[in-house]
Amino acid sequence: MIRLAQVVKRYLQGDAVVEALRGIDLRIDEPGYYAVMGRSGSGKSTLLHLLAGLDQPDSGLVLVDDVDLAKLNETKLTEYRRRGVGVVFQQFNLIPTLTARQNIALPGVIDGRPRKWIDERTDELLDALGITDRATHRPEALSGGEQQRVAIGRALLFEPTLLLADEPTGNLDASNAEQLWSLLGDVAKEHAITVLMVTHEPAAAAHCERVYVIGDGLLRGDFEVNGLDTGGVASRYRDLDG
Amino acid sequence: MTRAVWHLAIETLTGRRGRTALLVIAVALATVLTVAVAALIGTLRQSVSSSIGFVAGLSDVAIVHRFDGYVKYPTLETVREWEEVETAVGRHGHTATIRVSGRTKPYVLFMQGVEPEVEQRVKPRHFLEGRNIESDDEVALEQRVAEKLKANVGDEIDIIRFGDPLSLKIVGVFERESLDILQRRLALVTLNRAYDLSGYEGALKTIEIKLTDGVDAASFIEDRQGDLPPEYSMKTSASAGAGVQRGLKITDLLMVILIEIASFSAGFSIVASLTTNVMQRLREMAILRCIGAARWQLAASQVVAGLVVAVMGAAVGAPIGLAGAYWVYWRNSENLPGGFDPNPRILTLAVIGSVVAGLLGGLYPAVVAATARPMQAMTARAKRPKWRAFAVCTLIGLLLVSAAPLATTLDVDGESVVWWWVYCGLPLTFLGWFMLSIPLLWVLSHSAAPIVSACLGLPRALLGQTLRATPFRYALTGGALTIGLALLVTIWMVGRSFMGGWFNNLKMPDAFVHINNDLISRQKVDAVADIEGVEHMCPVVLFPVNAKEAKFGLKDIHPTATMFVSSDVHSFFDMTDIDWHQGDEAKARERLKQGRAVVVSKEYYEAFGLGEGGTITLDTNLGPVAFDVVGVIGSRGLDVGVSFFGLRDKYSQASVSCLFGTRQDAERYFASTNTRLILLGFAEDADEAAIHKQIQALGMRMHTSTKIRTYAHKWMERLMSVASTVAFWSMVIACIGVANLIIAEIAARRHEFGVLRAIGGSSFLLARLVAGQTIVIAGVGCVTGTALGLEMALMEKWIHLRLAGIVWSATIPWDVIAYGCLAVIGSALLAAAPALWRLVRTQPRELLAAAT
Ligand SMILES: Nc1ncnc2c1ncn2[C@@H]1O[C@H](COP(=O)(O)OP(=O)(O)OP(=O)(O)O)[C@@H](O)[C@H]1O
Ligand SMILES: [Mg+2]
Repeated sequence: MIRLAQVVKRYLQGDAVVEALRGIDLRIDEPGYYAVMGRSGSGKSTLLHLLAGLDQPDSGLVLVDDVDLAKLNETKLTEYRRRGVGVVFQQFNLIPTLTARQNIALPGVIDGRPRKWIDERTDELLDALGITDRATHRPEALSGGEQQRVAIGRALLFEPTLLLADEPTGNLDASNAEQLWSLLGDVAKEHAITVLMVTHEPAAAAHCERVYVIGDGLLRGDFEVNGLDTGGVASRYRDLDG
Repeated sequence: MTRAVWHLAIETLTGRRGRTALLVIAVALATVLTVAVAALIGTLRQSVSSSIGFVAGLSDVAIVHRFDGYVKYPTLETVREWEEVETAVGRHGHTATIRVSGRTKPYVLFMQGVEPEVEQRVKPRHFLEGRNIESDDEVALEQRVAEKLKANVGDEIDIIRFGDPLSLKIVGVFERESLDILQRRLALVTLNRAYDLSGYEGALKTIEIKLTDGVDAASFIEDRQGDLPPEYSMKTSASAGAGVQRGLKITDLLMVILIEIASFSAGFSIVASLTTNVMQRLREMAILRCIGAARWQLAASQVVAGLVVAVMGAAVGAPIGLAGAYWVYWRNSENLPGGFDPNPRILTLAVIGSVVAGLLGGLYPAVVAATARPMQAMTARAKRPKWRAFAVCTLIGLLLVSAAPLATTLDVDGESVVWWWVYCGLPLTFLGWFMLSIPLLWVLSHSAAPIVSACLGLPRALLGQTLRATPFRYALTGGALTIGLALLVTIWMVGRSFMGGWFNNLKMPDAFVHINNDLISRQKVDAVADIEGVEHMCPVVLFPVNAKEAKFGLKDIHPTATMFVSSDVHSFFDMTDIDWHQGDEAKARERLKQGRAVVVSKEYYEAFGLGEGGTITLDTNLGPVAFDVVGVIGSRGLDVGVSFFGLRDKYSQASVSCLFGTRQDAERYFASTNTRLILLGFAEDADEAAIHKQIQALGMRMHTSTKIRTYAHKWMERLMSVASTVAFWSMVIACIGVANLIIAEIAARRHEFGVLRAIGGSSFLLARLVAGQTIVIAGVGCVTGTALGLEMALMEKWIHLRLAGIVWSATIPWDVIAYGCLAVIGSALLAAAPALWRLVRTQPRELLAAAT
């Protein structure tokens, strides 16, 4: 499903070159709920951006569902972002001037889907995410957790095979975060898709099936969660990250 | 505490240097515009002023005929006997066509007939070559004339005229007169020679008097007026310049309007830009409030920021404007004898205009800043617009824009309304429409935005809701586009309606014949009658009179006198078809012949309701006399012709209305019998060119109605192109505001745009989104601009009616409005283009990286 091979990504910071990814390899073959952990600056977001088609690697291969993202032209890439993948960021995911409902519907509108299709899909998602009664509210009137649910709804509109989340609970309190973690797990299970969540919280990773640990732009290793509690995940992570 | 204000203001400006630079450019452009025009008007003013000296000469008092006739020579002799009089001179000028002997090119000049020695005492002339004239066969030329003719002392000139050929010998060349705006090409001859040329023996145009030392001119006039025949009047030199003063008032008026336009264009642009800025920094302001900044400090910082921008813009713009004006002056210095004179008062006014623009521009943002609540620092997003503010803007806006139309319904004289309109109503109306842009944006976000969305294939809700989220800054930016378009609409609507609805409908005789500003002698009238191809002809006596019931124009600008046109009843009415709006032709003719009756032109009826059966009291030779109005007719273009040829003294007579009376009445009540103008009707197969030649050979000039029409249309076109240029610059200034808004907009919404890209929106979608937004914003300017333009045009129509009795049917220039709106939208898009281009080329990840 996801394959990264020898992926290098550099940023120019003034004169200095920052190597955010230094030839990373990563493979996920089965749909499921996965976590990416690593220290700040280790390259997690960069990795996610590449998978979301928001940026291109300097070298190496990024395959999603056997499609080489580097080979897509701008139009195809845009379509991929619209239908092939969903992204949820830490905050400010939503268009502030649109209501929750309109935010969820937005990719469908951009795609030119029939009104009826969009309405049905949106209703379904609002219902599934438990925010039907907030449908007509704008982001400013929604709590952080509700905002993230709307963002997830929007990401799922086209039933992509890949859902990416970059620290989606970074701005939430513990109980809201807890709810969102398990929500993402449910999504992965129900839709049989790959959910990849960047996090630095062992508690979040404990909800996942497998954890990939990134350090200094390289994959340090991965481990199966398989019943580990938060403390267990934390100690496995520490082992790998050094 | 005040240091903090300064600090905040500077931070407001330096925080976004690029945009501050744009603002400064906007103000600078406005200042260039006002300063350049102000300096040029000042220069023109100086040239006009300096000609007052010329008009008045060195004499203290002048005697003239009140009704444009001549002063008889014996009066001069009487005056010379008076003890208060040191010297008195009589003058009789006449236009003549001459040619230097042996050459072919004819040349028209003004032959001033004088008594050489006495003249030299009242108005000494400095001879550069040769000497003053002594006999009737001699002539002295002004320096410029001699240069132009390449004539020297000793040469002969031939006068082209009706009758015996005549040659004069050049005996001297004298220095150019004191600065002369009239640019009359002057030559001196003896009085006798001038009589001979005009055919009016013993008739003086003016008598100029130099009083003995210690005699006061005003009391002299009071004492002596009674000793003169009633048709003569005495004026002090100062009052002789009154006409010039009126000319100056017109330039003042134009300038006030221009400065208003430029300052408001810049002011609105500044309001829009600073508002955008402050809205974006609302969060920052709220944080400042949290840490204890006072409301007034935040407000004051915005006002100071506006002022700094204005002062910087003025500092940059003023020298450029001055340089530009100097350049124009330098290229036309020939015609501007007063020298380059950027009147400091006017310049100050222009700079004050810019500063006021800055102040005005800082005011609204100041209110916004002052109302920032500390709590806003905590919420993620800007608060929703307040309905109350919305309603207040709408209400005040409606009030302001309806002020002028309401003022016209009041029972106040037209004069006051006009002054009020220029100094107060116009700015208020500008402001009103600017404020109405706010509710208008809301309306358009519901009506136009869906259409634009559909056309551009945008998500339906996105555009309208984005616009409604922060309506004020979008609306004000759109509103800033108002004035340019409005100007365009007004100019074209008035220009076209006036030409098409009034001027083109004027019936004119086939041609007018005149000799510049001179009287036409009996022999010449007869000679014209004999020309082949002239079927009808009507010699006209005309002079200004004061009418009690009908005062056209503005007191300070136009004389309120109207023209008394008299002729032989039959020749006038027989000439061709006359439109009788009221009255019966046969009866009117009868009544006119009985005397003390007039027919008025349509304008009297329109402006004062003066029609058949009414009376009009004219200030005559014998005191006020009531004349019966026996009919209302179309003026047959006499009024236009009269103003057109400058038959009335350019600077003293300007009203465009005529009364028609008989020659007998003219003589009886006004002692005026001299022909000034001849109306011609051609035979069907007449050879116009041949007639023209013969008229010229008589030393007279002929203007066919076709020529007048063409000329008037050309003149109108020139006027419209000048005004369109001003409109264009006003739009450019406003577009800087648009550019500013779009840059700010994109900067503020980078993250949002990034999210759009992340969920599969193409960069082209972003471009269309911003373009759509720009179109709706410009649409606001289109609506307010058109509305303001129409309102100004209708005010103009009303002013024409009240002050001149001119009625034109208003036709809305739809094509100009359409082109104007396209221009507004196009230029707004153009202004947005650079920022858009950058947006399109930005990677989605970079957009997302922007912290919100
Ligand atoms: N636009 C950029 N320009 C320059 N350097 C960048 C840019 N984006 C990221 N980097 C650098 O690349 C490295 C990896 O960044 P990345 O954002 O992927 O880290 P991260 O693992 O997501 O960190 P965090 O947990 O703090 O979000 C960091 O050193 C960062 O400074
Ligand atoms: Mg990150």
